[in-house]
Amino acid sequence: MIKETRLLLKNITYDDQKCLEKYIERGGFRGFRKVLELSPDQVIEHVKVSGLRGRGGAGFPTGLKWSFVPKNSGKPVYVVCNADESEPGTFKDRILMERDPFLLIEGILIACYALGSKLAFIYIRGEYQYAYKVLLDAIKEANQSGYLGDNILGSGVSVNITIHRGAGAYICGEETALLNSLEGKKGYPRIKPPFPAVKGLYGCPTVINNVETLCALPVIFDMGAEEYAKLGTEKSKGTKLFSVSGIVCKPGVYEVELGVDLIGFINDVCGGIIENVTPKIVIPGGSSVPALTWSECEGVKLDYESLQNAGTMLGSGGFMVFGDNVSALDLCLNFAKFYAHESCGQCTPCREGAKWLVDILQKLKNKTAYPGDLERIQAICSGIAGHTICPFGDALVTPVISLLKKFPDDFSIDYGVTSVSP
Amino acid sequence: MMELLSRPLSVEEKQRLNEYFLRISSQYPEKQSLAMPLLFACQELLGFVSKEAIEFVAEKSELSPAHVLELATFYTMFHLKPVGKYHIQVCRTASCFFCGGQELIEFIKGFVGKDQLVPSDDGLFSWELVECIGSCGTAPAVLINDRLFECVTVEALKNLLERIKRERPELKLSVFRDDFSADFLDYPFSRILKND
Ligand SMILES: Cc1cc2nc3c(=O)[nH]c(=O)nc-3n(C[C@H](O)[C@H](O)[C@H](O)COP(=O)(O)O)c2cc1C
Ligand code: FES
Repeated sequence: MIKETRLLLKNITYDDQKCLEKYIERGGFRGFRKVLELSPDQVIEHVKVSGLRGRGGAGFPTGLKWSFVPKNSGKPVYVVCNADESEPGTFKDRILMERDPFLLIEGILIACYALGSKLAFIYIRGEYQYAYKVLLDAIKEANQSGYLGDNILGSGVSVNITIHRGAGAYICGEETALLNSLEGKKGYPRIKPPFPAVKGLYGCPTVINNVETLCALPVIFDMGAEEYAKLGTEKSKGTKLFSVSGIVCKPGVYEVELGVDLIGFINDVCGGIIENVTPKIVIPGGSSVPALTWSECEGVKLDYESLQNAGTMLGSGGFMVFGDNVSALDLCLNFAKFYAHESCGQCTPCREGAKWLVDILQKLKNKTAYPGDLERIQAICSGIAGHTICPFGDALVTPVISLLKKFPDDFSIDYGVTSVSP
Repeated sequence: MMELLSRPLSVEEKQRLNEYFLRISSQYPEKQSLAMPLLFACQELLGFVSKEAIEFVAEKSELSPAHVLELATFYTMFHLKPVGKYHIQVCRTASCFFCGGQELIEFIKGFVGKDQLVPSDDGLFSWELVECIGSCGTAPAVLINDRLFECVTVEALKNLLERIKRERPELKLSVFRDDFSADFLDYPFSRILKND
């Protein structure tokens, strides 16, 4: 029987968790107080020990990322919280911000302390107005009570937080596009290197972390990095939030130890599959990771390595389950339209290729495709993948390639078309 | 250059924008970062981003008007023409689409009776398809102005829109007040996390 392990979500059901007083009563700022007894370098060391990896999608070790920030560069260091959450199927960050805003603030404080940053930004997607409002209130309250601003809790540490709203561009979740957007530019990703840790916001060293990553910090320091590292698997430590949607009985946000069984997770935690629907497609990490067929899910565990071995990725934890009433072609077309709409337009293969894919998939759906169109899809995908500045291009071909490969029957063009493509 | 609608800022509007500008300037090390917040503020006052708004934002954020226009066209939440008083954004991405979203889209299309982003004849409503708005677990989801509605059915939406017509709530978060108008917060938010 698989059970949730609620660390980040421990207090998520309390409606009054948004009050600073209640947050503190339930253990809030204990982690930060422990951090104040350590040196910044020790804090980074603890984060390394915890094994925490970025929860925004790439899974990069957080402590290691922090250690890339040059010491004494003479420039200010910025901490940026990536709250742009727009990956289809993902809604965990919204819940964290709406229900437990001080957890994020405390996480940001810990990151700022470790990195010597005095100014942090939260880049929140423009549509998350309610979360924005909750955070604004929380920041105001924290400022008034000495948990933000100058000389926090008499420690000599000063941190301010600015919330910046995005305005409807998925690409701004990509960290360098986000930085450009914060600087008042179009959300065009930058060529790396230089990496943001060295040259980020306003040309200064910058660390960008996902909301969930930052929210894990207070938990890690409160319980101890070694204790946290005991959870999960050898390489995927701790807990992970999954945003579950689709044909399960209880969709929602769940927190489990990394490494739990995928099918067990669906059955025990998500209430199983709804009646009279046969599960068909599982996408475990948001639309940008390869889809699994239901039979492929057998024996797969939910952690970075197992999912990779199964040919997919943990991604953002946007866990979608679709039934046999959904054709893989329709799903593929839906995702392709998403990427075509959201391509920032900077790189030609992505900007043009995404539209071509939509056109061909739409023809397949309308049963007006030409022989050779399936091969053409493959060719376009190879023309995009690896040929763009940011990983958006790879993300866009991933669902197309995996769905096409795994559900060839749904893409059949065997409907008697005899004409030859132009 | 594209044709921009003219709508000058009144003295009072300029004053409010200037106050807002002063309030947020201290939050950013560089003026350019103020362009997007200022565009949002102008759009709130005018209902859209006018030629004069672009010039105002450019001056305040020390950018060229062309640069600010580029922002207003790149980011889909900025509108260069007025939308309805109630702008209905329906999620079209997978988790919603295959869970009743398709029917909602058909309904909204008929209800507003106009192309996307074009206000209805009475100016009350407009609609737009949007990508995943982070409510996939409570699909299908619809945003009306700044207010999220989850687990929406055609029936519920019909009633909701009727109620909006009658009661005319704001459903907006104001940058000038930093507050949601309290009305309609009784419609259930996230039913997601209630314990078993
Ligand atoms: C196209 C694209 C979209 C992304 N969207 C998000 C996002 O919405 N939220 C997020 O946290 N990371 C997103 N990322 C990942 C970020 O670039 C970055 O890796 C992450 O914010 C780092 O934080 P972490 O190490 O804490 O995960 C996206 C990446 C790409 C390529
Ligand atoms: S798919 Fe509609 S909210 Fe995510």
